[in-house]
Amino acid sequence: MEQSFQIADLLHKKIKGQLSLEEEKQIKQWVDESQSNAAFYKKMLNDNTLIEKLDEYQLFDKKKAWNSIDKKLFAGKIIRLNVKKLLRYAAVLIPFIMLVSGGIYWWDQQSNSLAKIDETIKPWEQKATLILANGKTLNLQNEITTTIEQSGAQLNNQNNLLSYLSNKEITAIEPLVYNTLVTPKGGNYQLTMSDGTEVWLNANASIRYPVLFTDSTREVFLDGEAFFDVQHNGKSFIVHTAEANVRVLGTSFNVSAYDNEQYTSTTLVDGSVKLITTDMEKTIVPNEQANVFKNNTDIEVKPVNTDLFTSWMKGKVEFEEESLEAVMRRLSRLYDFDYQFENEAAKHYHFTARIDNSQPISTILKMLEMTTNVEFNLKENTIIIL
Amino acid sequence: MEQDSLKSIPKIDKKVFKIIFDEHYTPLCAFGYRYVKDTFVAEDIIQEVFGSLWEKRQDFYHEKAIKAFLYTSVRNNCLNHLKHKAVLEKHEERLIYELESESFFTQHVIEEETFNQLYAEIEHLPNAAKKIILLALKGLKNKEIAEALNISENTVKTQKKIAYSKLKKGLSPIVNGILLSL
Repeated sequence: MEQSFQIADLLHKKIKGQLSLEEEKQIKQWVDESQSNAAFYKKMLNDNTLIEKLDEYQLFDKKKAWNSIDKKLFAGKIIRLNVKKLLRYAAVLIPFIMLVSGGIYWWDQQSNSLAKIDETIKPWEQKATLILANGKTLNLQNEITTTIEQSGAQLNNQNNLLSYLSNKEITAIEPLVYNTLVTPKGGNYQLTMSDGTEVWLNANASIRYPVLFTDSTREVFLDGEAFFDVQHNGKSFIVHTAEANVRVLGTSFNVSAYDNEQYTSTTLVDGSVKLITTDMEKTIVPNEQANVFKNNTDIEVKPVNTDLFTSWMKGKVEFEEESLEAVMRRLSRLYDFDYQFENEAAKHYHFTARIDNSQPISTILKMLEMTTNVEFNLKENTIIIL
Repeated sequence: MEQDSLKSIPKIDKKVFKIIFDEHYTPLCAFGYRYVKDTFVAEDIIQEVFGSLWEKRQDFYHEKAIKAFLYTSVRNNCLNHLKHKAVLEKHEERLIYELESESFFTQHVIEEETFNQLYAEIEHLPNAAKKIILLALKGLKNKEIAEALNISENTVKTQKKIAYSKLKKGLSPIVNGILLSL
């Protein structure tokens, strides 16, 4: 590539009439090397080429592109804690601190404890259990490929995607046959229902849905968290959760309804959804989030950065000013572990970070340790926070 | 453009990144366009490549390395796009074979790099002068330019003079010729 840049430099000067004698020699040498070089040289020196080029450059909108990149790379309130960078600095800092405080032995103990952690606590992976209408269960893990015929639909599991295809035309309203997809802690799965709606199911969650949507509305039941990309087909799509129902026609949104979280949260990316509780209903628009607090029927709507609530699908865990307590709750679902706070104050430490959850848990815990006063220890399968 | 300030880069921060972007965005789009023949796709790809550059910014210390990375990434992304499209639309793979050749790559890198600086010089003119120059380069006479931009012919002549004095040393004989043809 070096040579290409050199030739370009010479050509540029030639066009301007600014070549030195030495440079004239160089470019002539290159031109003489081959027929194609000579032809190319002639083209480059042709007036029309410059004019056509400048014309072509007008096709691209640099300003608009910069605005887009600016927003993508630099805007946003999330301060990214670069885990790798932090660890690099830590490696340099810590020996120094140890020499000063003489706490070498203590650190060794600590790092041993965390090192073992990755052996028992694994990162998030695609795995789930499918419960068929007849009660039979199927283990969906390690990319097994299965095809099953069931009540007029063909069920296919391949490449970690469970999909349903209707075998017949839906002419009459028939009794609904349900399947349930369950993810364990540390698991996640993807499902395409018979109407084409796509669902991404997060860890520790379950969704109960009809094999074929033969009813006049499409109704599913969610516990946990899922992202929906609903296919528009004229029939309303309703997501039932313990605290609220989400009603849509065709749209993409995220629903988080974990039993051990304070609220049921619906974040809208595209389209329109209506949230319904026993006392209230509210319609939200894209980039808004509707929250229903546990055992309450009030619906609170606020504008949000949807990326923060949907990036889990890409394996990112994002926190914005979240307490360590909430952070541990989320991590324990994604990595499958129990935890215990022996330091009450630590529960209220707040974090803003963006983590890749394909990282081993020890990396994340080390990062948390480094930025605060906490310590993590492993006792059997429980992480103790000191 | 102060090329020297970027020869050896201490660190790519947002400011430096924007300079790199400003200098290379358009020629890279033209380069990508050679492959994908679609301006929207080309712009998308180039934006993604700049996103990658930002992610990897700690790995770069020299302008040449950045340029090489940019051209190579654009080419790879374009070829991937075309291959993916070929699979979907069952196109002939012969065309892609030609685009994959080293000589195609080299020639087009040289072409874009050659005109990049010339273009940059025109880009830096004040807006009014820039518009006039671009129209003049297309062969429009002063009268036609005045009509197109809804200004007087006198304004066109004055702007050309301004541009000429700014660019005297910098521009090609062609452009100088056009500027001088008042």
